[in-house]
Amino acid sequence: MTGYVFRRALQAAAVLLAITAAAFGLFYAAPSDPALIACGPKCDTAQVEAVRHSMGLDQPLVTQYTDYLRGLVAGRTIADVDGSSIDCAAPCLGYSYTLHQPVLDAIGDRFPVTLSLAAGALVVIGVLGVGVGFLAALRRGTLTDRLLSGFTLVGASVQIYFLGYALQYLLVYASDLFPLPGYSPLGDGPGAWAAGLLLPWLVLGFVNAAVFARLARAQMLETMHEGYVRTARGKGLGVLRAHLKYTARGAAAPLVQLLGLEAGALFGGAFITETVFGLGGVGKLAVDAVVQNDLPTVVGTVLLAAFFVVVFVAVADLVVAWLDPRVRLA
Amino acid sequence: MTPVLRVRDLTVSFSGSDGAVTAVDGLSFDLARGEVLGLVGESGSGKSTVGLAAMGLHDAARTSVGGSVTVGGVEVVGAPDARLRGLRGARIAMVFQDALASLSPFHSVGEQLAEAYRIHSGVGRAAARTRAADMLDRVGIPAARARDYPHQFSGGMRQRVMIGMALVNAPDVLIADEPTTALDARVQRQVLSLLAELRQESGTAVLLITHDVGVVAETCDRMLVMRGGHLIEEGPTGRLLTTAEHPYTRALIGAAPTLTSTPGTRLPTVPAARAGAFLSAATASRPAAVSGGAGLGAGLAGHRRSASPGPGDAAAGAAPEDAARAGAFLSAATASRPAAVSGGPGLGAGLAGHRRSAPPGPGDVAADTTAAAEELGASSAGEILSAATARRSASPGAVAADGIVMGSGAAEGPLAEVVDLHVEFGGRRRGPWGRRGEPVRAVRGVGLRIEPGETLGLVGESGSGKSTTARVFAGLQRPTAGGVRFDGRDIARAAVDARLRRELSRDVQLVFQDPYASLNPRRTVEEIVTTGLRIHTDLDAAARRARAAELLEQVGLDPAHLTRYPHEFSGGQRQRIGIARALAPRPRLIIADEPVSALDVSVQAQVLNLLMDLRDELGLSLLFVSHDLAVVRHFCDRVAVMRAGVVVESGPRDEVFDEPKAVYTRELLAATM
Repeated sequence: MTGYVFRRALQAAAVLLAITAAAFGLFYAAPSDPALIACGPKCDTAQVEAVRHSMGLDQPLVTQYTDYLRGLVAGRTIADVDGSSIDCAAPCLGYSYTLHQPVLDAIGDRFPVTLSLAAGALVVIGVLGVGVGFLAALRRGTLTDRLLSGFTLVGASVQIYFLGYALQYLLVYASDLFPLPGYSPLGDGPGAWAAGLLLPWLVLGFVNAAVFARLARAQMLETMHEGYVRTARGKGLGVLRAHLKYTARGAAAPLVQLLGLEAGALFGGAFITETVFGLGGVGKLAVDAVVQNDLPTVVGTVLLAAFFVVVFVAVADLVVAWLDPRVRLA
Repeated sequence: MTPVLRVRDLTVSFSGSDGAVTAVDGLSFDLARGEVLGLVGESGSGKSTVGLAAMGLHDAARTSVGGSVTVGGVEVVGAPDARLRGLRGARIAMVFQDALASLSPFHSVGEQLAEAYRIHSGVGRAAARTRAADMLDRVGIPAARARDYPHQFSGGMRQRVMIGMALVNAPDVLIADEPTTALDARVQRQVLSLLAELRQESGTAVLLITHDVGVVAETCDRMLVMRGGHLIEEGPTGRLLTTAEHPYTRALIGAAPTLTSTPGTRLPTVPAARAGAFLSAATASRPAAVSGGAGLGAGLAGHRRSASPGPGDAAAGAAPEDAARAGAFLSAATASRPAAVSGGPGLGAGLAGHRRSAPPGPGDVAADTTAAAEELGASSAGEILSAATARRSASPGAVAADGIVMGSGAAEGPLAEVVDLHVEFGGRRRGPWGRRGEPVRAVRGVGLRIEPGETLGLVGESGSGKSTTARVFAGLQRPTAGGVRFDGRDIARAAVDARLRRELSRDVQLVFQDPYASLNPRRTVEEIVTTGLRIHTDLDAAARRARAAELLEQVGLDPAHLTRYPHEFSGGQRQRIGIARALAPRPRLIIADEPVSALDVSVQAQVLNLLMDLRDELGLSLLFVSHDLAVVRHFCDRVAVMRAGVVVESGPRDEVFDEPKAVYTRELLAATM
């Protein structure tokens, strides 16, 4: 077990290192000039060169990369455009010359929004997706099954920006059934927090739950005919209990792994949902940074998203091993 | 006394996409308290369906169950699930064939037993755990292993867990559906005796569902024989085994070779009821085809004829039902069989067009006698052949010592051999940072040789290394150490050298265990059979087609079925296709790895009969791998017994079976039913 965690950590570090290198390469290959952007349109050539020097952009690529990596591990001092130096503590993801703050701080300001949105959406995905799939499998071939399967097909085919705006109009502006979407910190009271996020959670969850419902149904149907489910019924367990205790467990592994991937993706930011509901999360930060050529922020958010994917995939593997003792962690 | 299980006019049908299929049709029987009743039938007979119906476990949405099943007076058919839940596991319990699939892989065996107890007794978790540990201990599993999971146990121990779980509530009725079929003979015997002990302690009545007449003979007071959903015959086991009234029962009982049947005799086959009608006809007509006899030369014109002089005439025309009796004659014929194999008088000529190259050795011995035989006349040919047989059975060296010239220019010696063979698996690093694992030593110093025209039986339990050894002979597994030669040529590198393997595959072909998995479902029979011809010969499509038709006829299939796909055939027919495929390039050695273990006994008899005929006609050498001692004894000239990667005993068939030297061989023989 310790060996497994150690190997997984090394593997994660290798993946993240490769991603920083790729993102850094992109930083250089991009046609835009960070120094020019940071300096602003009114700078003359001499000023741009001064900025370039203060940002360290005139250093060789390898030096800049090792500086960046050193900053990640130990922190470093970065010069701003005006020459003032900024202390960037580890893990230093660089400094945004557009936002004039360290990238980590920029992400940290917005991360609670993303975290709240992702956590709630994952609950919706789990409950709705797995629940619908389970029910459809139990009632396979019936009207319930067909209705539920149709319902999930709607989820799979509809776009968030359409569903989001449509529901927001119908449920909030036209009928007042739902409170106005928006983010209020959990510290200010869980009621306001949940109320503001309710509609985003449902929309993001519903659209993603469709895939889970379909997979859960197929998995359940396959597992239902396993010998151990029959044995459980032969012991005298009722249909529902046998399926909950045995079939569901046998069907769980692929669902857990997909949920791990989904969690990793959602924690990296959900740009469309954030935009539709006017939530300032990490997804919006990342897209804005791309639009504004704010390359340190782009690299930082990419790295963060990759980090979450790596972590959650590893966690999903651990959960699968816990569910099924035959799985050996290697 | 009222029966604990009473079945009246039970009818079960499944609704499918192409109409309803009736699996059980009007079955009635009683199971008395404490009785052991055997329910015997082949696959598709509906025997397992009866067990599930008694438990009320059929899916109501797709199955209609009619008639009546009462357990201790409680009606099961049509009962609500709530009532059935009280019966299942408490009054009636079930043990399934595949314990690994039937036990939950997610829960420890202790938990699973405790759950079975808790559902019905309502005791607390701690009490249930104690009871589970006691029960495990009773079935021979240390209580300390209660926390282990099913995959950590051997097959026999898993089945013990299943039995313990089924009997934990001391039910009135136990349905045991093929409880020992997947187990090795010795383990099977242990599990059956455990079942018998527990049954006596708890007074549970057992309905033992099986295809294996041997198991029923050992364990059951009374037996029912089912076929196609109908009850064929019922009665005390002793009477049915000796004087059954129905021909099907007699055939079923006689179809499996035993340790007392005469080796090499034609096995009685079951008259076909349904689809495979022409198949059985083909098989049944074989005794007639044995009409070689006097007109031997003529008889051999048809390449399918098997030349058994003299006694063959006696068998000719015998009705299939009389096959058992004909067997008596045939056993006489068998003595001379090997001679006929390697070419009786005129056989060399008859086979000239048929065999690419006659195996050197005994075949030539017999061929040399041809002239003499012709002079002496057909009537005495048999005697000469018998003499030749005696020589063939002796070692080749002895034949040479008799002064008979070996016709072949090739070096004398075995057709294939392995010397001090070692095969190890694994031992590689697990992952980039993993430790180097301990290698599994599957084969440790095995030496075996297969003489031309000989059938070597390789016997052992699962994990003995017999299949690995066979794979080395086939050039599919590279030895870790030691030599492997075919026809004097070193073939150790065949597994890694595609060209060498291709050349080898012309002479060495395989027949596999599972006729369902080993045929490509997307290829027609013609494509399957002719693949080897495309690789090894320059025959054009028409010639390949003609050869394929000839092969199908040779294995008793209709050549008109060349365009069909494997799924259109029964298991036995598929195995015939597999045999035709192996025969296509006219190989000299056929390696058959458990070729009949996946087949029903009656089909097994047909396929064994076919293999014996083909061996006679074509002078094939065979490596026959099997766990079934009775089949090996029936089919093989020489036998090697393997255990844990080592050959513990080898020698001529009669020596090994009549005077086994190794303790292990004696144990295996004692466990065979």
